[in-house]
Amino acid sequence: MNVVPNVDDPGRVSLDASYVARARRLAEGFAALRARESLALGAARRAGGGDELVGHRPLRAGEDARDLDWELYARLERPFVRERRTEAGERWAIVFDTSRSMGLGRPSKLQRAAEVVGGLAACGLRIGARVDCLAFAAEPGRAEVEACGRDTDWLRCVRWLDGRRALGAGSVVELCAHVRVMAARRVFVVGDLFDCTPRELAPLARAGRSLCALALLAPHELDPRAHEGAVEWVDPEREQSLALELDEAVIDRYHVALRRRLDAWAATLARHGQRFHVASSEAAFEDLVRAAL
Amino acid sequence: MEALEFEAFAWLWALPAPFVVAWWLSRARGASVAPTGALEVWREAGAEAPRAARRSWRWSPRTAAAVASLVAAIFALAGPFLEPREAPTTWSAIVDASPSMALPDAAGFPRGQRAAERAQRLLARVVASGDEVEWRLVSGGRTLERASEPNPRWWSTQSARLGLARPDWARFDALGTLWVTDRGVGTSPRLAGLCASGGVAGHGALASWPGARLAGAGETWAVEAAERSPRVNLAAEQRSSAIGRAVAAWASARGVELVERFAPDDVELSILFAPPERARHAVGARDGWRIEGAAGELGAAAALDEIWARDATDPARVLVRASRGRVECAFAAAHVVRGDSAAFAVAWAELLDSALLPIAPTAPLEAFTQASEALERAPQRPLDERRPARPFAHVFAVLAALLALLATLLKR
Repeated sequence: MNVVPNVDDPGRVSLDASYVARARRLAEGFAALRARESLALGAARRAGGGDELVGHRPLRAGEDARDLDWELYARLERPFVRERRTEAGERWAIVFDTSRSMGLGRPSKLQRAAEVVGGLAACGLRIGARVDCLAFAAEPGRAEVEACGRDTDWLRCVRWLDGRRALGAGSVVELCAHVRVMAARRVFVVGDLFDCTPRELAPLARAGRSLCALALLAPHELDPRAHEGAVEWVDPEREQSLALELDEAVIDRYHVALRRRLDAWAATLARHGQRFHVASSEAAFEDLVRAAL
Repeated sequence: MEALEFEAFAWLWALPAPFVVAWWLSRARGASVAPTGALEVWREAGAEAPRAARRSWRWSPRTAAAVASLVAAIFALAGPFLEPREAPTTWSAIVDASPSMALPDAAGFPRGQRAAERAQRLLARVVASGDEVEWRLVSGGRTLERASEPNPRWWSTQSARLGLARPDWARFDALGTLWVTDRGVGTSPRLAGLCASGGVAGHGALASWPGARLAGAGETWAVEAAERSPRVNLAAEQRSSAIGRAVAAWASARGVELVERFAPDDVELSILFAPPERARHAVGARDGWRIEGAAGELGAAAALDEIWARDATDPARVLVRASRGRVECAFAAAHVVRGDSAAFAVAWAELLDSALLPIAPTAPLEAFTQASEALERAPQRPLDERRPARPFAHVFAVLAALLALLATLLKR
């Protein structure tokens, strides 16, 4: 018998003490890594505002090569780019997709996304950044913001995430247009990204802003082979359905279409020097946070 | 031709049930409902998929076989059989031609009209679509006239003057036949239907002869003087011929008035001669006399015509024929009588006596002395040589079994 995810349960985030401990370890590790990278690369720190060089990071595919550090390349024979910040305190914005479709999967995409959002917030706060987390408010068309300025605010952020349900309606594009997001230097979009296109997020990728889109998909969205036979696919957000007789050929076509869609995301964001990751909701949140950072 | 019939038609109301069950099963078990955020991706994949994959619900061969098996089983339970279609029937309405059909009933309408109206109502109840009704005016064993509807002329005064006999009913006792008469008493059909108007005992003439008639009602009868002399139409140019002289002598002896060119309904006898065109020699012989001369050709014979004399040289050729109210003679004016002229005159007198109509209709005594009840008995459809009904429920039963077996063998 086919595995049928529970449609009635939209998913509820549950973050326990073990998560808190894991997230803190992740943040400590991230902070230590950043420190080691800075020391190893001999980057000078300057207190105060201005166009400050804060470190180096590996060059990513499709990225503008003008920031390539040629001296490092000559020494290490690996491409690194300079990372700068114009403000004394870096501002991060984490867009958390809580739409109904995020309630799917075991564990749900919502659960894993909440863990990632919490992990990212912990990392950002740990290195001194101001972190704003945004999610859909209960009122349609409105955003709910959790602003964290200090490392001590993180537990408040975890409580904000805990118990959250996948009941929102709307596109993450609406959240991305929020003033807090536009003011951030680093933007993370965590969701399944089925309700928007990479072009819609492209305006975020202006100079000086780093964007990372993390597409979290349920296992049966990545590989629907468990659903061979007659399947009625139901979109919990739009309440639309599509009946299909699944066989190998149709599933292969789905894989091709999904791969085409994900490749379009990766290519579009890479053209703008931004990053895109896709992962299953079964993956450990630490790996997802590391990939996003 | 055969028609499909069912012994237990109510079973057919169960025909939608297999389809409803199959639909329900396909919804309940056959297809899983899976939520996904990737509906657009599935649409994209579905648009490229073959049409069969995009159908809302496709029955598996097993489901289709099971549904077909149930449908065949329901047909078997309904008991189908092929019933031979009934062939169109031609109903016969035998109308009594006797004079009593012209007698008026209490309302003044002829009994024949009343009988025909009853017969039409009776037939309307048994005649099916596509059937035909043939109305036949019958006297004795002869059919005088055929029509698709009864003709009011059949029970007119003029027709009654012919004094025709009642039908020989026994010859028309068959399924699909209806006897139409005024008097049902004494007629007892075994197979045919019966429609008798009935009638009250009335006043009228029992017999008639030149100058007088026997008329009355019930027990009282008396000879009454005739209103006028009988009239015989005889062309003036024929009166000098041998036949003309014999007719004139007879008319004088009987008190019959010879007239010329009167309407047929106004005379009691018409002596008609064939036109002289294409006349040729003929010899007629009878009772010790012979008549010779040029003879023309008589027209087509009527049903009641009787041949009185033939050409001795050509027996197929009719020289004299007669019916009530009419004598037709093929001889032209120039003919000669040889042999016993007295016998010739007597023979012609007998012929003219038998052909002379009464001035007014006469009817049998029973029509005036006995009232009769109206009777009705519907005719029955004739039994055609039908093939027996052919049941074939077993065909559906075998089909249902085979389909059920197939359903068990097929993969879902």
